[in-house]
Formats: sequence, C-alpha cells, structure tokens
Amino acid sequence: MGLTSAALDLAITTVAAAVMLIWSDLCNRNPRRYSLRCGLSSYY
Amino acid sequence: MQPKPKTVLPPLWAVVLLLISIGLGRYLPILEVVSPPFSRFGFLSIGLGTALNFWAFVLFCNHRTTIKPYKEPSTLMTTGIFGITRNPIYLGVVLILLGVSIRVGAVTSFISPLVFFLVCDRRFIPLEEGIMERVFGKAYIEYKEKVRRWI
Repeated sequence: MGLTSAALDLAITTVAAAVMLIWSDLCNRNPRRYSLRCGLSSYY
Repeated sequence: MQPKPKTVLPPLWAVVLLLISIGLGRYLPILEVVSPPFSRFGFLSIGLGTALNFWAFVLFCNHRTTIKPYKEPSTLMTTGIFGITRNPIYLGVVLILLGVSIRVGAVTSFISPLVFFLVCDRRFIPLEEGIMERVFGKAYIEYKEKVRRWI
C-alpha cells in the first residue's frame, strides 16, 4: 500500500514536471514550429 | 509595466514552486492539514490541472499563436477551454500545485499554489491582458466580459 502510494506520487510528480517542461519548451519556440509533439521533441 | 524579455517565465516559477512544495512538505512539515484518505483528492486536482494544460497546449499548437506572456499573439482564442476560463494554463498549474500540496499535506506546502496564483494574477495576466487589448481591441474586451479571468 505504502509502496503503491509512493510510486503513484512519483508518477504524478513526473507528469506535473512534464507539463511544465512542455510549457517551457513551447515558450522557447517559434509558434510556426508548434506541433503536438513539439514540447517533447527536444528531449529525444 | 512590461517586464524585460529576460524575466523569469511562468514555467520556471512553476517548476521551482513544485520543488519547494515537495521540499517544504518533506523537510519542514509544519502542521499536517490534509491526511489520508483525504490526501487522495490531490490526484484529482493534479489530473484536472494536467488535462486543462494539455487541452490548452493543443489549442496553442493548432492555432500557432505564441504562448509567451510578453509576445503579441496572432490569434484570439475563445473556444474550447478558453470559453470556460481565460487562463487555462495558469489555472491548470495552480491545480497541479494545489494537488501536490494536498498530497504532501503540510500547511507549508500550500505556499506554492498561493504564490503562483499571486504571481500570475498580479504580474503576468495584467501584462498579457494589456497586450491582448492593444492587439485585438473590442473583440478582446467583449471576450473579457463573457469569460472570467480564472473560473
């Protein structure tokens, strides 16, 4: 139970951080280059 | 007053405040105000905030208009989530930070969503509204009358 909760917290924190990274990436990009994948494209 | 382009942008505020929220809850857990099973409501808030953000990101991508606070937008978005709130990304991040604070449970961790709300409400949103009014004029003023700043 404790481990599941900790894993869930880690997953949720990762999702929250990903949202902010995507937002940050969009802020640093020319809107003409926006795409649904653009927020993650610089990370792979 | 328009901040310089080198100003700290909202995403960085959000990331730093997210870390502060988790850190304060772990290392300075003063007064637990939310405890299990009620802390599970944090997931709901985080999920809702994430959904709001992705909905807004998709609209920004589809319209190819800038997401940067101090740049002139090319499109006035009034449909979808923008028909419910004028600032879905800020609202989504406040919900995410609030959800994390609920999960952490300590009163100190609630500083983060409050600070982010105040920074957006006093600094970034007035700046964006000024630019939008200048660029879109009457159309934006009419939109402002129909849709609230937050919810």
